[in-house]
Amino acid sequence: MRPIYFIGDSNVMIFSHLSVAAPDCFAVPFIGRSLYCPQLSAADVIDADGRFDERFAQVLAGERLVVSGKDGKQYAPHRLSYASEHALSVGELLGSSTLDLDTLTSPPLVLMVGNLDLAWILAELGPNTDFFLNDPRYDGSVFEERAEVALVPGSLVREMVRSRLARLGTALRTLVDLGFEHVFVHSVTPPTSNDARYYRWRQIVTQASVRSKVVLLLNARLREIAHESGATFLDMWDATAERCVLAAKYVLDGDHFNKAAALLTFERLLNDLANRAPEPTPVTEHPLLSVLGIGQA
Amino acid sequence: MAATFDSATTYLDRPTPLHFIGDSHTLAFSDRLYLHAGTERKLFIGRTGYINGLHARDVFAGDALHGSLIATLSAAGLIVDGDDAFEAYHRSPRTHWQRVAGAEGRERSEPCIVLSCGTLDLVRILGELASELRGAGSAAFAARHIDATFAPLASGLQWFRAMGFDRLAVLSIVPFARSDDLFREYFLVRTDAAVRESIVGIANRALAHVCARHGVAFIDRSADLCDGSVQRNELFPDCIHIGEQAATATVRRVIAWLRGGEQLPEPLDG
Repeated sequence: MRPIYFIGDSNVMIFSHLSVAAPDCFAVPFIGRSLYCPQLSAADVIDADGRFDERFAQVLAGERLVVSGKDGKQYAPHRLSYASEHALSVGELLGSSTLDLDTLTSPPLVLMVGNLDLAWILAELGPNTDFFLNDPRYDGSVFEERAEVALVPGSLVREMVRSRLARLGTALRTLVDLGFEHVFVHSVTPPTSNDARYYRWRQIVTQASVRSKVVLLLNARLREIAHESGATFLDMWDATAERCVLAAKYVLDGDHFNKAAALLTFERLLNDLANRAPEPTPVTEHPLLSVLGIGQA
Repeated sequence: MAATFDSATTYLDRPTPLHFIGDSHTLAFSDRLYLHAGTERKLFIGRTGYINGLHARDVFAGDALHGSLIATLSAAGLIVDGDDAFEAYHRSPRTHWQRVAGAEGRERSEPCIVLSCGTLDLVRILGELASELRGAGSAAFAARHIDATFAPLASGLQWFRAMGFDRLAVLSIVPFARSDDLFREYFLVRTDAAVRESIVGIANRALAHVCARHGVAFIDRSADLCDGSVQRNELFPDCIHIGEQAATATVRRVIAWLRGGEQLPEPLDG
């Protein structure tokens, strides 16, 4: 199995051990590996000095996605070789290559943050606040009109979004520089339509229309940052939103999306990865797939 | 030409992880998938928590588990922050962790943890006590020394049990390389094969005893990995570590233990 690492807030949990085979394109099935960093927001991933957040660094090290070289610097193991001038100790190399019998390649990393930044922005805006958003994906007519809302400038909310995501680009570039070739940023999930449920989770009084608009702004900025940083933005809004909120069929518990939505993400990921591969790897008689009864191409 | 993806994807059942944690003998299990096709079809996946240089004598010191073990258990999500100490994720009563478990979309269940350590302790003993390990009384001497070396491991097992990890097992120590030269080249210790074979046997008996005392399963692989007491070369690609075939044999024994002694499942290459 080849792991795909989902790193970030509690939305990563649904990917835990989800497994998918796509034998037309990949010889070995993929498995989701959830690396949960409690309460991690986009604003926390990396600090002003370029150091990863402790929770983030711990899961990278714990999964041996990053190892320390003899020179004290950090490396992604798949980028090292015995001949490297930075060669690690025998044990480190064993951990990264010689006994991992599959070919060592750059594992896909999917960063999932933004939900706590959304909550932070909503708390700052306060209840009964709204703003104007010019985005073709946003359709205000699906929400009930509210009387007596205080309008704040959209530029103010945009600035909040920019501020929360200001250092995320550095984090993504650092991962790319470490040697990860497949870094993805997952879009923030369309919000729940249920205000009371959102309050129960986050203790923030807010309205679905405002949540929806802030998520769209966060996602627009995440897309820009991913593009500027050599990462790929996985935009799941259109696939999972209905009337500007999370479609009922993808709701797990009012704050997270369910397995059906996670599988959509998996498909999108594999689609992207398949188009990166230099050559397709058709499998005719893979023992695992045949025993599991999965059809061959 | 770029590959073209069509949507011919198949979603598999979520496999049950088998957490192999410890020295470099855990690495062969990494991300390998196994199918148990007995009375109930079930998938298992090997998860590796490799701790560079882990000795059994370091597993527990003072009143704490070794820091690298804590870090590995934490990274794997097996232990989480409690009010003032770590607690097992599957047992945590805190609302936060119950919600996190809910976000996974399935019930929390007790994980299976399989520990691997002891090889490096034996290498150290072979290096430091080479002369005492020859001749009359050497076996009793080695046994006493090994018992003392494994005492921290015993405390570690107690720690795991107290945390609520009941599906806990320890792997038997694999046989050393037959070749004196190869062993010396790899471990920088000069010994002869007879002493090495003897000490592995003594150590495994001691491990079995420690495990029995603490209600932990001991996964004895001697029958799979040895001809008599000698390493089966074909199972050790680098003459030191187990390869894929031996890993599969190990997993069959682990699964059989988990399933209460059911007949060993057929191996499946992942």
